Amino acid sequence: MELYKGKYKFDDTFIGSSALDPSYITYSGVNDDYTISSGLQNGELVYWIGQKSGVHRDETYNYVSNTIFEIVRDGNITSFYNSLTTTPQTIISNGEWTVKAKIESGFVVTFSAYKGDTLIINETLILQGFSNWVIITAKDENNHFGAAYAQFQTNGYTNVQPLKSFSGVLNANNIEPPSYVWTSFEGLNGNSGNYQLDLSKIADEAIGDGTPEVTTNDASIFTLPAQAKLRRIGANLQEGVEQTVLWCGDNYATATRRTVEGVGTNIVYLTFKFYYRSEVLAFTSPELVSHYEGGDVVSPETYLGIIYDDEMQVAAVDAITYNPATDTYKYNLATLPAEQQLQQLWVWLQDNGEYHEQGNPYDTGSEDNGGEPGTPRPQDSIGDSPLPTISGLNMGIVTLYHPDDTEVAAISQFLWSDNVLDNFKKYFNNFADNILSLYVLPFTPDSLPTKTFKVGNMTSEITGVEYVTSRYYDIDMGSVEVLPRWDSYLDYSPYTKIEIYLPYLGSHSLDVDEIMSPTKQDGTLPTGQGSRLKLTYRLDILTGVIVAKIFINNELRYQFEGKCGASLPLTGQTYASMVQGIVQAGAGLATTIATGGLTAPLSAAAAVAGTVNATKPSIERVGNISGEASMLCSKIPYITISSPSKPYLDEQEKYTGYPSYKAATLGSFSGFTQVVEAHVEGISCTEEERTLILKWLKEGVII
Amino acid sequence: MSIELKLRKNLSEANRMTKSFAANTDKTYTGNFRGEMSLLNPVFVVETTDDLTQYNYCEIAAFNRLYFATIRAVGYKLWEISCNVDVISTYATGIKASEALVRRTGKTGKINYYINDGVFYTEQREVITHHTFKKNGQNATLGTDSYYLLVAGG
Repeated sequence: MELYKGKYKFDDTFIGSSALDPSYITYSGVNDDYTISSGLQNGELVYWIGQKSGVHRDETYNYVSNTIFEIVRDGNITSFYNSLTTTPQTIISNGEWTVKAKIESGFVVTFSAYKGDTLIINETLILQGFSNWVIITAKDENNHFGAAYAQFQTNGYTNVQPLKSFSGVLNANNIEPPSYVWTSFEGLNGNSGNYQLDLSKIADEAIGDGTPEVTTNDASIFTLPAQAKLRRIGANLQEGVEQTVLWCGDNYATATRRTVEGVGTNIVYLTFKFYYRSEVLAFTSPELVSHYEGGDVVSPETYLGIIYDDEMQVAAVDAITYNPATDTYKYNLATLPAEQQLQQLWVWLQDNGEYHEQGNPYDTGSEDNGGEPGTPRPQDSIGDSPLPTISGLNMGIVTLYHPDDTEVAAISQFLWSDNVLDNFKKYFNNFADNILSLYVLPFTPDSLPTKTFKVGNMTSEITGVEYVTSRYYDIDMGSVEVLPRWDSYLDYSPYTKIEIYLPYLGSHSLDVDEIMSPTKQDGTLPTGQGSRLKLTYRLDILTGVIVAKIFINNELRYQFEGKCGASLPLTGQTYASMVQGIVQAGAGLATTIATGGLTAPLSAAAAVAGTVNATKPSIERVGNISGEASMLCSKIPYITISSPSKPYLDEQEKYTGYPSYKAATLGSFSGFTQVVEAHVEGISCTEEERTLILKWLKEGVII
Repeated sequence: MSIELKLRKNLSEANRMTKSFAANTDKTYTGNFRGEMSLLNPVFVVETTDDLTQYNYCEIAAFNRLYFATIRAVGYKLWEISCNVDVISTYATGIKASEALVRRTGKTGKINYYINDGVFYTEQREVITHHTFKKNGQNATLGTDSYYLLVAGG
């Protein structure tokens, strides 16, 4: 099977001097309403068709002497589409050449060009978004045949649409094109080496036999890898922005995405540009359909394929389209680019043509690995949670009274009165069934409502007793400023330590680095370092459970749990369980203590800061406290800061200097100066002296 | 070849780039080579009744270099002067114009106090301070103790 290649070839006199100044020609044919123009655009010869009545230019045209274009079919797109079926139908024919069309799915139509009974080429186009269409044939002096299709909207404005070739090409030179023996290229690096396009699964036997479609049932073709999908390659591309997506050794290729909006369905195209390592552009691929977006049309999936013929030293980009509706893969080999581009791609592939092994996906070989810090990660604000709203205190099942001392005494008298005891005996077996608990909490709510004391169905004469309606309370426990002392590394871990004592909860260590060097302060501190710590206690008044929340510069950073309150016995049974609870609570309540350095060996040269403070043990200041025991401890929260003492060294800049790690000319430094490395090649001295200079500089000199 | 040897009394540290010298004490001697002479470590023998025991530095203009000098008496009125080139002072201009990555310096504005390279010394005694949480200027507490009585119904 022979494949014709190339494009419509005109007499050069009719090629426009630039893309902005194409030369127009009129066709000769039955309809006088259209113009066909040609010109150079981005270095390529392109052709447009436009409506003469709407064309903004109205020059005198030159005819093409050796090529005749003819509008052979035109009309409304919808009407044309409705005339088609899934069986190919002849739409134009001149006896020798025939163009047929059939519906694939949705608005997708396949045009097939035949020379006699021989299929030359298929082209799948989408009829959507426009209102009119034309099919144009062209015939050169040697009667080679070509055909093209264009669609546009007739809205009175200038409409110039590119011709989409769906036939072989006019070969004005009457030279039979070469035939190639294609082989699929093994693979390229994609996405900075994070995956490889494994193209080796394309069945070589199916390539180049002129059969443009193969089904997945064909044993000669395997499943193409998902990485080769154009949709996958272009997944992170911004519209219209050229980005590097493929590598072959040090050569690379970019892709640019273009989305054409249709009625309901958009079509996404990718154009690849292949560059040599010297960043010289080799060539640009045709625009390849990647996929559809939106709408009801089933999107084809296009896979990138690279095929080559080593003997002919040519290679081509072959966009393989998978049609899920028909379960077929289609090669688009008939639309090969010009021979020069075939050769250029082959050269592009020769550069170190191995692709990187899977085991080293991040080594591109041509770029640095790391070394460029990214932009700071944006922080998420961690706010506090709202108070729970379900408390169970408003349902009438239980009531939590808040009596004062006098009221407790009065309630006790009421409970032990004959009247109450008699009624309790009628309804309950156990007095304690009604009085659920009596306890003391170190907290007094504000503004509680009052009512007459009542237990079960028994109403007392004790009026105005406060009762609790909200179970959970947030209590502001104040704030404290923590500022650096030395404004140096000595303010940070492990040299400085910070512990917090939380009443009713115990003692915990805090992260010094986060406090001393916050990413954001609250605007109340005098320096750029340090933080304000705020403490909030969230109390469950029904159980005495406390969660201490520590905010650093208004951001929630720590939460610790504990329990406060002291139970009062009501019966022998409740007393026994209370004592048991105290014993159990004392076993293993954890406090967080930074151990740092306890197991590190103490160095004899312990004067150096790095060893002294890092190895000092942390001291436990608060034992296990909880519940009843916590009621006996200090009720004031505080922090303990342990920081080193550094003697002031008189004229340290003369003896040892200070840490610098800055690069500049040595004349900009002074005092004791010690280098890591220096460039002293420019000094006019002997090499022995140069070595001595470096030695002195590394040991330290006084400038 | 006749050269001039200027002996000086250096008062500065050996690693100081710009040396200072005792005033009005320089001594200059002129003489001829009698054989090979090292450019970086020349040795001279000078005959003089001057007391050279206090001298530790010399300049040799003909060599364009400055030297540390070690002087010893080798005979009656004979002094042997062994010189070692002081590259730091000799090439001070070129060194100051050279670029370097500096580990330590005494120059304000070029110091990074947040780098710990182990030279800061600290005392064995830590400073421990306690700071209470305050609300409205007062130490914060949870509140005052209160009774709570939980009853069925009510």
